[in-house]
Order: sequence, then C-alpha cells, then structure tokens
Amino acid sequence: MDLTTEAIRLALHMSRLRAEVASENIAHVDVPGYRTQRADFSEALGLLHEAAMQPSTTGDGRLEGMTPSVLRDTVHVADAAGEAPVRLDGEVAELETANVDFQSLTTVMSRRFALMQLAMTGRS
Amino acid sequence: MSVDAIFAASRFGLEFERLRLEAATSNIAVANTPTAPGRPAQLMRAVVNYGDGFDTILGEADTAMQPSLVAINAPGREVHDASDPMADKNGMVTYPKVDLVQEMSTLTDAERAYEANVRAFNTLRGMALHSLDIGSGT
Repeated sequence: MDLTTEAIRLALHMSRLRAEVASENIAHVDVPGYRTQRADFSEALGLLHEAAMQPSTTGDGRLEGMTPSVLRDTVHVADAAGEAPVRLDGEVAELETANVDFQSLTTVMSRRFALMQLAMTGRS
Repeated sequence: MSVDAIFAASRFGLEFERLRLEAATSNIAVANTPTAPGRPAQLMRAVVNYGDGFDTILGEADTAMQPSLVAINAPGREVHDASDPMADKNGMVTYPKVDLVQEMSTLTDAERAYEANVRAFNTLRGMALHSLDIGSGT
C-alpha cells in the first residue's frame, strides 16, 4: 500500500485508540484507586516521521506492523509518579479532539479513494 | 499555530480555571477551621509551573506548563476561645485569614472564564469540522 494511505490508516487507529482510552477513563471515574490511562504514540509517530523524511526506507513492513493491538499495548498510567485521578472535562476534551481528528482523517481518506476511483473509471 | 495547539491551549485554560475554582472553594471551606497551634495557616492557590527545566529551555518538553494547586502560608486570624481544643497556651485559636470577597470574586471569575474556554473549544471544533466541507460543494 502506498505511504499516504498507510499513514492515514495508522493515524485513524491512533485517534480511535485515544477515544477508547478516554471513554475507559470516563467509565472508571468513580472507581477508587483508578488512575488516568494514556496511550503512548511515540513509537508510531517516530515511524511516521521517519517515513516522511526517507520514503525509500518504508518497505520493511514496520509501518504495517503498527496494528491496533500493538498500539493498544502502549496504554499505560498517565502520571507514574503522582496520583492522577480522572478529570472529567479533560477526558471529554480528549474525546472531542480525537473525534475531530478521526472525522478529518476519514474525509481525507474518502477523498483519496474518490480520486482513485476517478482515475480508474474516468468518472467519480 | 496548528489546530491541535489551539485545542491544547483551550484545554490548558479549562484545567487552570477548574483549579482556581477548586482553590477558592477549598479556601472558603477552611475559613472557619482552626489550624494546629504552632503551625502556619495555609491556603490553596492555583499556580502554573512555567518550567525552567533543561528540556523546556530547549523547547523539547511537550507538557511544559502544567497547572497545579499549592498550599501557601497565609496570615492567621486569632480568636480568644480557651475552651477550644485547638487553642494555644494563651487561649488563642488561629484561623486562616480568608478574604471572602476576594475568594467569591475568584469563584465567579473562574466560572466565567471556564465558560469562555468551553465556548472557545466548541467554536474551534465547529470550525475544524466545517473546514472538512471545503470543496465538497454542499
């Protein structure tokens, strides 16, 4: 798959996971001792950055290896040192930003596919 | 300034205003609670750590500014009440000197600012979603 589609796929997974983690935090807001969870996208972002800088090195399947379950494993306690209780407004804001990102990415993806369809059929 | 940065600014504002509200509420709550003899009266205040760390100076820190609540020493208000168990040897009980007028205006101010931040967040969200309609012809 080409780089742009692959990058959008990964970004879609990332915003979906952000929304999922925020929902879990909201669901656990009254559980005693629960601490805010966050996903860590540094590895995926590093791969994306590397792919953008050197497109020739992206054929080794590392970008494709970033499946939802791999991303899921990066979820960890947000503030390892101190107590980080769930803050409802922050989680709702996280949910909303993930939502905006997801909608932007799906729009870009569908326009891209419309372009491909136009190229194949000659009409959109 | 990217859209994400503006969202982050709004979320920072939300968190800071919530902490200000929390601090004012806590100060009002302890206004009539005596402090232990020999210890300074303490009031809460919301502060922002503007960050003078190494990575902040280099611009590498992604969470440079994190608002937090700190307890600051406050002047006390002494009342003579020898029957109170918290009284010192002179029979004086110390309460934190809370300026109720200031705390109430902080409360109202923080609430208004919180609403403004929510409005700004929603406006930006609407703009970001509307921008997806550019060129779609509807």
